[in-house]
Amino acid sequence: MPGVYSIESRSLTRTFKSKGEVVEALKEVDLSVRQGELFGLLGPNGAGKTTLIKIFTTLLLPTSGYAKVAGHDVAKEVKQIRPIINMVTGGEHSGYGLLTVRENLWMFSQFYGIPGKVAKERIDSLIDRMRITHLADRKIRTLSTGERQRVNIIRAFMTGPKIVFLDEPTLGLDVETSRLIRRYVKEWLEQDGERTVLLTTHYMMEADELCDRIAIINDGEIVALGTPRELKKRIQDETAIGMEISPEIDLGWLDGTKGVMGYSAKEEGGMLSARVVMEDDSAVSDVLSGVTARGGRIISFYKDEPTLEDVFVKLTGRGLE
Amino acid sequence: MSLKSSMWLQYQIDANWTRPLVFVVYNILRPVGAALLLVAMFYVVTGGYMGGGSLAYLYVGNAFFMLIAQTLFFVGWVVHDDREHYQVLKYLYISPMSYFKYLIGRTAMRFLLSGFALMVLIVLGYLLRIPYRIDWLLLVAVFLVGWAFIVGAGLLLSGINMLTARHGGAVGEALAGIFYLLSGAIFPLSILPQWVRGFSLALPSTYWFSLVRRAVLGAESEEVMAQFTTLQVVLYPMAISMVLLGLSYLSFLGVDHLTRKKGMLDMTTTY
Ligand SMILES: Nc1ncnc2c1ncn2[C@@H]1O[C@H](COP(=O)(O)OP(=O)(O)O)[C@@H](O)[C@H]1O
Ligand SMILES: [Mg+2]
Repeated sequence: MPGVYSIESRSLTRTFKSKGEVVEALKEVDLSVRQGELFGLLGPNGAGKTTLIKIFTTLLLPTSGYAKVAGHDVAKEVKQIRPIINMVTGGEHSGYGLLTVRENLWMFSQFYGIPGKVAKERIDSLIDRMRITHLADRKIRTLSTGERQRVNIIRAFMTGPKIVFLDEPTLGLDVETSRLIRRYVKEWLEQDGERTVLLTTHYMMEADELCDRIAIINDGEIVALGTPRELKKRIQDETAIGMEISPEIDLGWLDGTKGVMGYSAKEEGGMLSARVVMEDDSAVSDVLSGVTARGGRIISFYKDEPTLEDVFVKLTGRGLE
Repeated sequence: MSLKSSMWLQYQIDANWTRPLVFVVYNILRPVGAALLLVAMFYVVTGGYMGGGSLAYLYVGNAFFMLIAQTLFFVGWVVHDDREHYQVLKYLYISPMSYFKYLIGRTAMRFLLSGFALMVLIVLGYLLRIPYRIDWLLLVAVFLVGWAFIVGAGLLLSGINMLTARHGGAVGEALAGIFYLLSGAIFPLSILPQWVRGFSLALPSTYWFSLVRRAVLGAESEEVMAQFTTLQVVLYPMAISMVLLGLSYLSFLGVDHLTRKKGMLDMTTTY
Protein backbone atom coordinates (compact mmCIF):
# COMPACT_ATOMS: atom_id res chain seq x y z
CA MET A 1 0.00 0.00 0.00
CA PRO A 2 1.55 3.30 -1.03
CA GLY A 3 1.74 5.99 1.60
CA VAL A 4 1.29 3.52 4.42
CA TYR A 5 4.13 2.53 6.69
CA SER A 6 4.55 -1.16 7.38
CA ILE A 7 5.10 -0.41 11.02
CA GLU A 8 4.23 2.85 12.64
CA SER A 9 3.73 4.35 16.06
CA ARG A 10 2.88 7.84 17.28
CA SER A 11 3.33 9.07 20.82
CA LEU A 12 3.23 5.45 21.85
CA THR A 13 3.37 5.14 25.61
CA ARG A 14 3.15 2.06 27.75
CA THR A 15 3.22 1.96 31.51
CA PHE A 16 3.20 -0.99 33.89
CA LYS A 17 2.14 -0.98 37.48
CA SER A 18 4.12 -3.34 39.58
CA LYS A 19 4.24 -3.42 43.36
CA GLY A 20 2.70 0.02 43.63
CA GLU A 21 5.33 1.53 41.34
CA VAL A 22 4.60 2.83 37.88
CA VAL A 23 7.17 1.86 35.25
CA GLU A 24 7.16 3.80 32.00
CA ALA A 25 8.42 1.16 29.60
CA LEU A 26 7.80 3.31 26.51
CA LYS A 27 7.58 7.08 26.43
CA GLU A 28 6.00 8.80 23.43
CA VAL A 29 7.69 6.60 20.87
CA ASP A 30 7.39 7.70 17.23
CA LEU A 31 8.48 5.12 14.71
CA SER A 32 7.98 4.75 10.96
CA VAL A 33 9.26 1.68 9.22
CA ARG A 34 8.92 1.48 5.45
CA GLN A 35 8.09 -1.55 3.42
CA GLY A 36 11.21 -3.49 2.49
CA GLU A 37 13.23 -2.22 5.40
CA LEU A 38 15.18 -4.23 7.90
CA PHE A 39 14.75 -1.92 10.80
CA GLY A 40 16.69 -2.34 14.02
CA LEU A 41 15.97 -1.32 17.57
CA LEU A 42 19.21 -1.21 19.48
CA GLY A 43 19.16 -0.81 23.22
CA PRO A 44 20.26 -2.37 26.49
CA ASN A 45 18.22 -4.64 28.74
CA GLY A 46 15.13 -2.94 30.06
CA ALA A 47 15.11 -0.30 27.31
CA GLY A 48 11.59 -1.25 26.21
CA LYS A 49 12.35 -3.31 23.10
CA THR A 50 10.22 -6.30 24.02
CA THR A 51 7.38 -4.08 25.14
CA LEU A 52 7.37 -2.38 21.75
CA ILE A 53 7.43 -5.70 19.91
CA LYS A 54 4.57 -7.02 22.03
CA ILE A 55 2.46 -4.00 21.17
CA PHE A 56 3.07 -4.39 17.45
CA THR A 57 2.35 -8.12 17.58
CA THR A 58 -1.03 -7.53 19.29
CA LEU A 59 0.03 -9.11 22.57
CA LEU A 60 -0.09 -5.90 24.53
CA LEU A 61 -2.22 -2.78 24.34
CA PRO A 62 -0.74 0.71 24.31
CA THR A 63 -1.45 2.89 27.33
CA SER A 64 -1.71 5.91 25.06
CA GLY A 65 -0.78 6.90 21.54
CA TYR A 66 -1.22 4.42 18.73
CA ALA A 67 0.61 1.68 16.89
CA LYS A 68 -0.19 0.44 13.41
CA VAL A 69 0.90 -2.55 11.41
CA ALA A 70 0.30 -2.37 7.65
CA GLY A 71 -1.99 0.54 8.38
CA HIS A 72 -4.10 -1.39 10.89
CA ASP A 73 -4.48 -0.25 14.46
CA VAL A 74 -3.10 -2.88 16.87
CA ALA A 75 -5.77 -2.11 19.43
CA LYS A 76 -8.76 -2.56 17.15
CA GLU A 77 -7.80 -4.42 13.99
CA VAL A 78 -6.23 -7.56 15.34
CA LYS A 79 -7.99 -9.72 12.75
CA GLN A 80 -6.35 -7.91 9.86
CA ILE A 81 -2.92 -7.90 11.44
CA ARG A 82 -2.45 -11.46 12.70
CA PRO A 83 -2.52 -13.30 9.37
CA ILE A 84 0.27 -11.16 7.91
CA ILE A 85 2.71 -11.04 10.81
CA ASN A 86 4.84 -13.42 12.78
CA MET A 87 7.37 -13.19 15.53
CA VAL A 88 10.42 -14.88 17.01
CA THR A 89 11.76 -14.25 20.48
CA GLY A 90 15.24 -15.21 21.54
CA GLY A 91 16.49 -16.60 24.81
CA GLU A 92 13.63 -19.01 25.41
CA HIS A 93 12.73 -22.63 24.83
CA SER A 94 9.43 -22.66 23.06
CA GLY A 95 7.63 -25.55 21.41
CA TYR A 96 5.80 -28.69 22.47
CA GLY A 97 8.78 -30.65 23.72
CA LEU A 98 7.13 -34.01 23.24
CA LEU A 99 6.34 -33.44 19.57
CA THR A 100 8.93 -33.79 16.87
CA VAL A 101 10.27 -30.83 14.93
CA ARG A 102 8.09 -31.67 11.97
CA GLU A 103 4.99 -32.23 14.11
CA ASN A 104 5.43 -28.92 15.89
CA LEU A 105 5.77 -27.04 12.64
CA TRP A 106 2.91 -28.92 11.04
CA MET A 107 0.61 -28.02 13.88
CA PHE A 108 1.42 -24.34 13.72
CA SER A 109 0.95 -24.36 9.97
CA GLN A 110 -2.55 -25.67 10.56
CA PHE A 111 -3.27 -22.90 13.03
CA TYR A 112 -2.56 -20.55 10.14
CA GLY A 113 -4.84 -22.51 7.85
CA ILE A 114 -2.09 -23.33 5.35
CA PRO A 115 -3.19 -26.09 2.97
CA GLY A 116 -1.54 -29.41 3.80
CA LYS A 117 0.54 -29.83 0.69
CA VAL A 118 1.84 -26.27 0.72
CA ALA A 119 2.65 -26.56 4.41
CA LYS A 120 4.62 -29.76 3.90
CA GLU A 121 6.66 -28.22 1.09
CA ARG A 122 7.43 -25.07 3.01
CA ILE A 123 8.38 -26.97 6.15
CA ASP A 124 10.69 -29.30 4.25
CA SER A 125 12.38 -26.54 2.38
CA LEU A 126 12.91 -24.43 5.50
CA ILE A 127 14.13 -27.40 7.52
CA ASP A 128 16.66 -27.83 4.79
CA ARG A 129 17.53 -24.13 4.71
CA MET A 130 18.05 -24.09 8.49
CA ARG A 131 20.24 -27.21 8.17
CA ILE A 132 18.29 -29.38 10.56
CA THR A 133 17.12 -32.07 8.15
CA HIS A 134 18.74 -34.70 10.36
CA LEU A 135 16.69 -33.45 13.32
CA ALA A 136 13.31 -33.30 11.59
CA ASP A 137 11.92 -36.34 13.36
CA ARG A 138 13.51 -35.72 16.72
CA LYS A 139 11.46 -34.50 19.66
CA ILE A 140 11.86 -30.82 20.30
CA ARG A 141 12.89 -31.33 23.90
CA THR A 142 16.01 -33.20 22.83
CA LEU A 143 17.33 -30.26 20.80
CA SER A 144 19.97 -27.75 21.87
CA THR A 145 19.17 -24.07 22.30
CA GLY A 146 20.50 -23.21 18.87
CA GLU A 147 18.61 -26.04 17.19
CA ARG A 148 15.40 -25.02 18.89
CA GLN A 149 15.79 -21.46 17.74
CA ARG A 150 16.18 -22.68 14.16
CA VAL A 151 12.83 -24.42 14.52
CA ASN A 152 11.40 -21.25 15.98
CA ILE A 153 12.60 -19.32 12.95
CA ILE A 154 10.93 -21.82 10.62
CA ARG A 155 7.72 -21.57 12.62
CA ALA A 156 7.61 -17.85 11.99
CA PHE A 157 8.68 -17.71 8.36
CA MET A 158 6.75 -20.71 7.03
CA THR A 159 3.42 -18.94 7.50
CA GLY A 160 4.23 -16.51 4.70
CA PRO A 161 4.15 -13.31 6.75
CA LYS A 162 4.64 -9.87 5.25
CA ILE A 163 6.01 -8.36 8.42
CA VAL A 164 8.22 -10.23 10.85
CA PHE A 165 9.17 -9.14 14.34
CA LEU A 166 12.38 -10.54 15.75
CA ASP A 167 13.00 -9.86 19.42
CA GLU A 168 16.68 -10.52 20.13
CA PRO A 169 16.53 -13.57 17.86
CA THR A 170 20.17 -14.53 18.35
CA LEU A 171 20.29 -14.01 22.11
CA GLY A 172 22.52 -16.61 23.70
CA LEU A 173 23.03 -18.58 20.48
CA ASP A 174 26.18 -20.13 19.12
CA VAL A 175 28.04 -18.22 16.43
CA GLU A 176 27.04 -20.57 13.63
CA THR A 177 23.32 -20.47 14.35
CA SER A 178 23.40 -16.69 14.76
CA ARG A 179 25.09 -16.31 11.42
CA LEU A 180 22.68 -18.68 9.73
CA ILE A 181 19.69 -16.80 11.08
CA ARG A 182 21.05 -13.38 10.13
CA ARG A 183 21.83 -14.52 6.64
CA TYR A 184 18.42 -16.06 6.21
CA VAL A 185 16.58 -12.96 7.44
CA LYS A 186 18.48 -10.80 5.00
CA GLU A 187 17.87 -13.18 2.14
CA TRP A 188 14.16 -13.51 2.98
CA LEU A 189 13.78 -9.76 2.86
CA GLU A 190 15.54 -9.42 -0.47
CA GLN A 191 13.33 -12.02 -2.14
CA ASP A 192 10.26 -9.82 -2.06
CA GLY A 193 10.04 -6.05 -1.86
CA GLU A 194 6.81 -6.16 0.11
CA ARG A 195 8.41 -7.72 3.16
CA THR A 196 9.50 -5.89 6.29
CA VAL A 197 11.46 -6.87 9.39
CA LEU A 198 11.66 -5.19 12.75
CA LEU A 199 14.52 -6.59 14.78
CA THR A 200 15.60 -5.78 18.31
CA THR A 201 19.02 -6.46 19.67
CA HIS A 202 21.53 -5.34 22.19
CA TYR A 203 24.41 -6.60 20.05
CA MET A 204 25.72 -3.57 18.22
CA MET A 205 27.51 -5.69 15.65
CA GLU A 206 24.26 -7.39 14.73
CA ALA A 207 22.49 -4.08 14.25
CA ASP A 208 25.36 -2.61 12.29
CA GLU A 209 25.79 -5.56 9.98
CA LEU A 210 22.13 -6.30 9.35
CA CYS A 211 19.96 -3.22 9.54
CA ASP A 212 19.10 -0.60 6.97
CA ARG A 213 18.09 1.83 9.65
CA ILE A 214 18.43 1.73 13.40
CA ALA A 215 16.63 3.41 16.24
CA ILE A 216 18.65 3.57 19.42
CA ILE A 217 16.36 3.11 22.37
CA ASN A 218 17.14 3.79 25.98
CA ASP A 219 14.85 3.90 28.97
CA GLY A 220 11.71 3.82 26.82
CA GLU A 221 12.81 6.62 24.55
CA ILE A 222 14.23 6.69 21.07
CA VAL A 223 17.39 8.74 21.41
CA ALA A 224 18.73 8.52 17.87
CA LEU A 225 17.65 7.24 14.50
CA GLY A 226 19.37 6.72 11.17
CA THR A 227 21.37 4.37 9.02
CA PRO A 228 24.34 2.76 10.76
CA ARG A 229 26.61 5.10 8.86
CA GLU A 230 24.65 8.20 9.79
CA LEU A 231 24.61 7.18 13.41
CA LYS A 232 28.33 6.61 13.51
CA LYS A 233 28.88 10.02 11.97
CA ARG A 234 27.39 11.47 15.09
CA ILE A 235 30.60 10.92 16.94
CA GLN A 236 32.96 12.16 14.30
CA ASP A 237 34.02 15.08 16.43
CA GLU A 238 34.46 13.03 19.54
CA THR A 239 37.16 10.62 20.49
CA ALA A 240 36.47 6.98 21.24
CA ILE A 241 39.17 4.70 22.61
CA GLY A 242 39.24 1.05 23.48
CA MET A 243 41.49 -0.56 26.06
CA GLU A 244 42.03 -3.75 27.95
CA ILE A 245 42.79 -3.46 31.59
CA SER A 246 44.09 -6.00 34.10
CA PRO A 247 43.28 -6.59 36.84
CA GLU A 248 39.69 -5.47 36.72
CA ILE A 249 39.15 -2.13 38.36
CA ASP A 250 36.06 -0.09 38.98
CA LEU A 251 35.64 2.61 36.35
CA GLY A 252 32.99 4.62 38.17
CA TRP A 253 35.35 7.56 38.55
CA LEU A 254 35.24 8.11 34.76
CA ASP A 255 31.79 9.63 35.15
CA GLY A 256 33.25 12.64 36.95
CA THR A 257 36.30 13.01 34.75
CA LYS A 258 36.39 16.19 32.71
CA GLY A 259 35.89 15.65 28.98
CA VAL A 260 34.58 12.08 29.38
CA MET A 261 31.09 11.59 27.92
CA GLY A 262 30.63 8.01 28.97
CA TYR A 263 32.09 4.54 28.93
CA SER A 264 31.18 0.92 28.55
CA ALA A 265 33.01 -1.99 30.07
CA LYS A 266 32.71 -5.72 30.10
CA GLU A 267 34.72 -8.55 31.48
CA GLU A 268 36.48 -10.64 28.89
CA GLY A 269 38.79 -13.48 29.78
CA GLY A 270 39.72 -12.13 33.19
CA MET A 271 40.38 -8.67 31.79
CA LEU A 272 38.28 -5.59 31.57
CA SER A 273 37.51 -4.53 28.05
CA ALA A 274 36.45 -0.89 28.07
CA ARG A 275 35.55 1.80 25.62
CA VAL A 276 35.54 5.44 26.59
CA VAL A 277 33.97 8.24 24.61
CA MET A 278 35.44 11.73 25.13
CA GLU A 279 34.68 15.17 23.81
CA ASP A 280 38.11 15.31 22.18
CA ASP A 281 41.68 14.02 22.43
CA SER A 282 42.54 16.24 25.35
CA ALA A 283 41.00 13.91 27.93
CA VAL A 284 42.87 10.81 26.79
CA SER A 285 45.92 11.29 28.98
CA ASP A 286 43.77 11.92 32.07
CA VAL A 287 41.89 8.70 31.43
CA LEU A 288 45.03 6.63 30.97
CA SER A 289 46.76 8.03 34.03
CA GLY A 290 43.55 7.58 36.00
CA VAL A 291 43.53 3.88 35.21
CA THR A 292 47.16 3.42 36.26
CA ALA A 293 46.64 5.44 39.42
CA ARG A 294 43.93 2.99 40.46
CA GLY A 295 46.13 -0.03 40.07
CA GLY A 296 45.01 -1.01 36.56
CA ARG A 297 47.58 -2.10 34.01
CA ILE A 298 46.73 -1.18 30.45
CA ILE A 299 47.33 -4.29 28.38
CA SER A 300 46.33 -2.75 25.10
CA PHE A 301 45.07 0.57 23.91
CA TYR A 302 43.62 1.47 20.57
CA LYS A 303 41.86 4.28 18.82
CA ASP A 304 39.80 2.95 15.94
CA GLU A 305 36.60 3.46 14.00
CA PRO A 306 33.67 4.51 16.15
CA THR A 307 31.07 1.83 16.77
CA LEU A 308 27.33 2.01 17.34
CA GLU A 309 28.00 1.31 20.96
CA ASP A 310 30.16 4.42 21.12
CA VAL A 311 27.19 6.36 19.79
CA PHE A 312 25.07 4.84 22.51
CA VAL A 313 27.69 5.70 25.12
CA LYS A 314 27.83 9.27 23.91
CA LEU A 315 24.06 9.63 24.05
CA THR A 316 23.45 7.91 27.36
CA GLY A 317 26.73 7.82 29.22
CA ARG A 318 26.67 4.04 29.52
CA GLY A 319 27.22 0.85 27.54
CA LEU A 320 24.77 -1.54 25.93
CA GLU A 321 25.44 -4.57 28.11
CA MET B 1 -8.61 -26.57 11.04
CA SER B 2 -7.44 -25.25 14.38
CA LEU B 3 -10.06 -27.35 16.11
CA LYS B 4 -8.83 -30.50 14.45
CA SER B 5 -5.19 -29.66 15.05
CA SER B 6 -5.67 -28.84 18.69
CA MET B 7 -7.50 -32.14 19.17
CA TRP B 8 -4.65 -33.88 17.46
CA LEU B 9 -2.20 -32.09 19.74
CA GLN B 10 -4.06 -33.19 22.82
CA TYR B 11 -4.11 -36.73 21.53
CA GLN B 12 -0.35 -36.61 21.03
CA ILE B 13 0.18 -35.25 24.50
CA ASP B 14 -2.15 -37.65 26.28
CA ALA B 15 -2.14 -40.86 24.34
CA ASN B 16 1.58 -40.87 24.20
CA TRP B 17 2.28 -44.36 22.90
CA THR B 18 5.99 -43.82 22.98
CA ARG B 19 5.64 -43.85 26.75
CA PRO B 20 3.13 -46.66 27.22
CA LEU B 21 3.91 -46.94 30.91
CA VAL B 22 2.73 -43.38 31.53
CA PHE B 23 -0.41 -44.06 29.56
CA VAL B 24 -1.14 -47.25 31.46
CA VAL B 25 -0.55 -45.63 34.83
CA TYR B 26 -2.76 -42.66 34.14
CA ASN B 27 -5.53 -44.37 32.27
CA ILE B 28 -5.70 -47.78 33.88
CA LEU B 29 -3.74 -48.25 37.09
CA ARG B 30 -4.64 -44.99 38.76
CA PRO B 31 -8.39 -45.07 38.10
CA VAL B 32 -8.60 -48.78 38.83
CA GLY B 33 -6.60 -48.34 42.03
CA ALA B 34 -8.84 -45.49 43.14
CA ALA B 35 -11.99 -47.47 42.35
CA LEU B 36 -10.80 -50.56 44.22
CA LEU B 37 -9.82 -48.43 47.20
CA LEU B 38 -13.29 -46.96 47.19
CA VAL B 39 -14.89 -50.40 47.05
CA ALA B 40 -12.63 -51.63 49.86
CA MET B 41 -13.53 -48.62 51.98
CA PHE B 42 -17.16 -49.28 51.29
CA TYR B 43 -16.85 -52.79 52.69
CA VAL B 44 -14.84 -51.67 55.69
CA VAL B 45 -17.26 -48.87 56.57
CA THR B 46 -20.49 -50.74 55.94
CA GLY B 47 -19.31 -54.27 56.63
CA GLY B 48 -21.02 -55.19 53.36
CA TYR B 49 -24.19 -54.38 55.17
CA MET B 50 -25.75 -51.86 52.88
CA GLY B 51 -26.30 -54.21 50.03
CA GLY B 52 -25.39 -54.21 46.36
CA GLY B 53 -27.53 -51.19 45.52
CA SER B 54 -25.30 -48.80 47.41
CA LEU B 55 -22.18 -50.33 45.97
CA ALA B 56 -23.51 -49.98 42.44
CA TYR B 57 -24.47 -46.36 43.16
CA LEU B 58 -21.04 -45.51 44.43
CA TYR B 59 -19.15 -47.50 41.84
CA VAL B 60 -20.93 -46.03 38.84
CA GLY B 61 -20.74 -42.49 40.24
CA ASN B 62 -17.04 -42.85 40.81
CA ALA B 63 -16.43 -44.32 37.35
CA PHE B 64 -18.22 -41.53 35.53
CA PHE B 65 -16.59 -38.97 37.76
CA MET B 66 -13.47 -39.95 35.83
CA LEU B 67 -14.75 -37.97 32.87
CA ILE B 68 -15.12 -34.83 34.93
CA ALA B 69 -12.00 -35.25 37.03
CA GLN B 70 -9.55 -36.05 34.28
CA THR B 71 -10.80 -33.27 32.06
CA LEU B 72 -10.88 -30.62 34.76
CA PHE B 73 -7.45 -31.58 36.10
CA PHE B 74 -6.17 -31.11 32.60
CA VAL B 75 -8.00 -27.89 31.87
CA GLY B 76 -6.61 -26.42 35.05
CA TRP B 77 -3.14 -26.72 33.63
CA VAL B 78 -3.48 -26.18 29.89
CA VAL B 79 -3.15 -22.40 29.82
CA HIS B 80 -0.39 -22.52 32.38
CA ASP B 81 1.52 -25.15 30.41
CA ASP B 82 1.12 -23.33 27.12
CA ARG B 83 2.38 -20.16 28.68
CA GLU B 84 5.16 -21.35 30.94
CA HIS B 85 6.12 -24.90 30.14
CA TYR B 86 5.93 -24.93 26.36
CA GLN B 87 6.21 -21.11 26.06
CA VAL B 88 3.95 -21.16 23.05
CA LEU B 89 0.99 -19.15 24.33
CA LYS B 90 2.14 -15.94 22.69
CA TYR B 91 2.77 -17.69 19.40
CA LEU B 92 -0.65 -19.31 19.51
CA TYR B 93 -2.16 -16.00 20.44
CA ILE B 94 -0.72 -14.01 17.54
CA SER B 95 -1.84 -16.62 15.03
CA PRO B 96 -5.09 -16.04 13.14
CA MET B 97 -6.83 -18.92 14.90
CA SER B 98 -8.88 -18.31 18.00
CA TYR B 99 -7.28 -19.52 21.20
CA PHE B 100 -10.81 -20.17 22.41
CA LYS B 101 -11.37 -22.68 19.64
CA TYR B 102 -8.02 -24.24 20.33
CA LEU B 103 -9.02 -24.76 23.96
CA ILE B 104 -12.32 -26.28 22.89
CA GLY B 105 -10.38 -28.75 20.76
CA ARG B 106 -7.96 -29.72 23.46
CA THR B 107 -10.63 -30.00 26.14
CA ALA B 108 -12.89 -32.03 23.90
CA MET B 109 -10.14 -34.50 23.09
CA ARG B 110 -9.20 -34.81 26.73
CA PHE B 111 -12.82 -35.64 27.44
CA LEU B 112 -12.85 -38.29 24.76
CA LEU B 113 -9.65 -39.84 26.04
CA SER B 114 -11.04 -39.93 29.57
CA GLY B 115 -13.61 -42.28 28.11
CA PHE B 116 -10.83 -44.85 28.00
CA ALA B 117 -10.42 -44.92 31.77
CA LEU B 118 -14.19 -45.02 32.09
CA MET B 119 -14.39 -48.04 29.83
CA VAL B 120 -11.79 -49.85 31.90
CA LEU B 121 -13.79 -49.13 35.04
CA ILE B 122 -17.03 -50.31 33.47
CA VAL B 123 -15.42 -53.58 32.52
CA LEU B 124 -14.01 -53.93 36.02
CA GLY B 125 -17.56 -53.31 37.25
CA TYR B 126 -18.73 -56.46 35.48
CA LEU B 127 -16.20 -58.44 37.49
CA LEU B 128 -17.49 -56.82 40.67
CA ARG B 129 -21.02 -57.85 39.71
CA ILE B 130 -22.39 -54.34 39.33
CA PRO B 131 -25.98 -54.89 38.11
CA TYR B 132 -25.77 -52.91 34.87
CA ARG B 133 -28.94 -52.25 32.94
CA ILE B 134 -27.72 -50.02 30.18
CA ASP B 135 -30.05 -47.76 28.22
CA TRP B 136 -27.96 -46.92 25.19
CA LEU B 137 -29.96 -43.90 24.15
CA LEU B 138 -29.62 -42.36 27.58
CA LEU B 139 -25.93 -43.23 27.57
CA VAL B 140 -25.50 -41.14 24.46
CA ALA B 141 -27.27 -38.32 26.28
CA VAL B 142 -24.86 -38.80 29.19
CA PHE B 143 -21.92 -38.18 26.92
CA LEU B 144 -23.44 -35.26 25.07
CA VAL B 145 -24.55 -33.46 28.19
CA GLY B 146 -21.33 -34.31 30.01
CA TRP B 147 -19.28 -33.04 27.13
CA ALA B 148 -21.13 -29.75 26.93
CA PHE B 149 -20.87 -29.29 30.67
CA ILE B 150 -17.18 -30.08 30.95
CA VAL B 151 -16.20 -27.98 27.98
CA GLY B 152 -18.27 -25.06 29.27
CA ALA B 153 -16.92 -25.29 32.79
CA GLY B 154 -13.42 -25.96 31.51
CA LEU B 155 -13.35 -22.93 29.25
CA LEU B 156 -14.56 -20.71 32.04
CA LEU B 157 -11.75 -22.07 34.17
CA SER B 158 -9.22 -21.46 31.39
CA GLY B 159 -10.38 -17.87 31.15
CA ILE B 160 -9.65 -17.43 34.83
CA ASN B 161 -6.29 -19.09 34.39
CA MET B 162 -5.28 -16.65 31.70
CA LEU B 163 -5.42 -13.97 34.35
CA THR B 164 -3.60 -15.80 37.10
CA ALA B 165 -0.10 -17.13 36.97
CA ARG B 166 -0.28 -19.77 39.61
CA HIS B 167 -2.50 -22.39 41.18
CA GLY B 168 -4.44 -22.89 37.97
CA GLY B 169 -4.23 -26.63 38.37
CA ALA B 170 -5.31 -26.42 41.97
CA VAL B 171 -8.46 -24.55 40.98
CA GLY B 172 -9.36 -27.33 38.55
CA GLU B 173 -8.76 -29.97 41.20
CA ALA B 174 -10.78 -28.08 43.80
CA LEU B 175 -13.63 -27.72 41.34
CA ALA B 176 -13.53 -31.42 40.54
CA GLY B 177 -13.50 -32.15 44.27
CA ILE B 178 -16.64 -30.08 44.77
CA PHE B 179 -18.41 -31.98 42.02
CA TYR B 180 -17.28 -35.25 43.57
CA LEU B 181 -18.59 -34.48 47.02
CA LEU B 182 -21.67 -32.40 46.32
CA SER B 183 -23.12 -33.78 43.11
CA GLY B 184 -24.33 -37.06 44.50
CA ALA B 185 -21.59 -38.91 42.65
CA ILE B 186 -20.88 -41.19 45.59
CA PHE B 187 -22.77 -39.62 48.50
CA PRO B 188 -26.52 -39.60 47.87
CA LEU B 189 -28.12 -36.21 48.31
CA SER B 190 -30.44 -37.67 50.92
CA ILE B 191 -27.57 -38.11 53.38
CA LEU B 192 -26.20 -34.59 52.86
CA PRO B 193 -27.24 -31.87 55.35
CA GLN B 194 -30.25 -29.87 54.23
CA TRP B 195 -28.33 -26.64 53.52
CA VAL B 196 -25.77 -28.46 51.40
CA ARG B 197 -28.53 -30.16 49.49
CA GLY B 198 -29.85 -26.83 48.26
CA PHE B 199 -26.43 -26.09 46.86
CA SER B 200 -26.17 -29.55 45.32
CA LEU B 201 -29.47 -29.11 43.55
CA ALA B 202 -28.10 -25.99 41.88
CA LEU B 203 -25.15 -27.89 40.41
CA PRO B 204 -25.79 -29.22 36.90
CA SER B 205 -23.46 -32.12 37.67
CA THR B 206 -25.97 -33.40 40.24
CA TYR B 207 -28.51 -33.93 37.48
CA TRP B 208 -25.89 -35.39 35.23
CA PHE B 209 -24.98 -38.07 37.76
CA SER B 210 -28.65 -38.86 38.11
CA LEU B 211 -28.81 -39.22 34.35
CA VAL B 212 -25.79 -41.53 34.54
CA ARG B 213 -27.53 -43.84 37.01
CA ARG B 214 -30.65 -43.95 34.89
CA ALA B 215 -28.59 -44.77 31.81
CA VAL B 216 -26.34 -47.38 33.39
CA LEU B 217 -28.32 -48.90 36.28
CA GLY B 218 -31.76 -48.67 34.70
CA ALA B 219 -33.30 -46.32 37.27
CA GLU B 220 -32.59 -43.62 39.82
CA SER B 221 -32.36 -45.17 43.28
CA GLU B 222 -31.51 -41.94 45.09
CA GLU B 223 -34.74 -40.58 46.58
CA VAL B 224 -34.12 -36.83 46.23
CA MET B 225 -33.15 -37.07 42.61
CA ALA B 226 -35.83 -39.65 41.81
CA GLN B 227 -38.34 -36.80 42.06
CA PHE B 228 -37.06 -35.45 38.75
CA THR B 229 -38.09 -36.91 35.45
CA THR B 230 -35.48 -38.22 33.05
CA LEU B 231 -36.24 -35.37 30.68
CA GLN B 232 -35.54 -32.91 33.46
CA VAL B 233 -32.17 -34.40 34.28
CA VAL B 234 -31.26 -34.17 30.61
CA LEU B 235 -32.53 -30.69 29.94
CA TYR B 236 -31.42 -28.93 33.09
CA PRO B 237 -27.68 -29.68 32.86
CA MET B 238 -27.85 -29.17 29.09
CA ALA B 239 -29.33 -25.71 29.54
CA ILE B 240 -26.78 -24.80 32.22
CA SER B 241 -23.96 -26.03 29.97
CA MET B 242 -25.16 -23.83 27.14
CA VAL B 243 -25.19 -20.89 29.51
CA LEU B 244 -21.69 -21.85 30.68
CA LEU B 245 -20.45 -22.03 27.10
CA GLY B 246 -21.93 -18.62 26.35
CA LEU B 247 -20.52 -17.18 29.55
CA SER B 248 -17.11 -18.65 28.91
CA TYR B 249 -17.06 -17.10 25.47
CA LEU B 250 -18.06 -13.71 26.81
CA SER B 251 -15.55 -13.97 29.60
CA PHE B 252 -12.94 -14.86 27.02
CA LEU B 253 -13.56 -11.64 25.17
CA GLY B 254 -13.14 -9.77 28.43
CA VAL B 255 -10.12 -11.80 29.42
CA ASP B 256 -8.59 -11.25 26.01
CA HIS B 257 -8.79 -7.52 26.51
CA LEU B 258 -7.53 -7.73 30.08
CA THR B 259 -4.53 -9.92 29.29
CA ARG B 260 -3.51 -7.58 26.51
CA LYS B 261 -4.00 -4.61 28.76
CA LYS B 262 -2.01 -6.09 31.59
CA GLY B 263 0.53 -7.97 29.51
CA MET B 264 -0.05 -11.43 30.94
CA LEU B 265 0.45 -13.53 27.85
CA ASP B 266 3.99 -14.52 28.55
CA MET B 267 4.03 -13.96 32.24
CA THR B 268 5.92 -16.60 34.16
CA THR B 269 5.34 -17.67 37.71
CA THR B 270 7.91 -16.40 40.12
CA TYR B 271 7.34 -18.15 43.38
N1 LIG C 1 4.63 -7.04 32.68
C1 LIG C 1 5.43 -6.10 33.21
N2 LIG C 1 5.19 -5.61 34.44
C2 LIG C 1 5.97 -4.65 34.96
N3 LIG C 1 7.03 -4.10 34.36
C3 LIG C 1 7.34 -4.55 33.13
C4 LIG C 1 6.56 -5.57 32.50
N4 LIG C 1 7.10 -5.83 31.28
C5 LIG C 1 8.17 -4.99 31.17
N5 LIG C 1 8.32 -4.23 32.27
C6 LIG C 1 9.35 -3.20 32.49
O1 LIG C 1 9.39 -2.35 31.37
C7 LIG C 1 10.73 -2.00 31.05
C8 LIG C 1 11.04 -2.42 29.63
O2 LIG C 1 11.10 -3.83 29.55
P1 LIG C 1 11.34 -4.60 28.19
O3 LIG C 1 10.43 -4.06 27.16
O4 LIG C 1 11.26 -6.04 28.48
O5 LIG C 1 12.84 -4.20 27.84
P2 LIG C 1 13.87 -4.90 26.84
O6 LIG C 1 13.15 -5.88 26.01
O7 LIG C 1 14.45 -3.77 26.05
O8 LIG C 1 14.92 -5.52 27.70
C9 LIG C 1 11.60 -2.68 32.09
O9 LIG C 1 11.87 -1.73 33.10
C10 LIG C 1 10.74 -3.78 32.59
O10 LIG C 1 11.06 -4.09 33.92
MG1 LIG D 1 13.56 -7.90 25.75
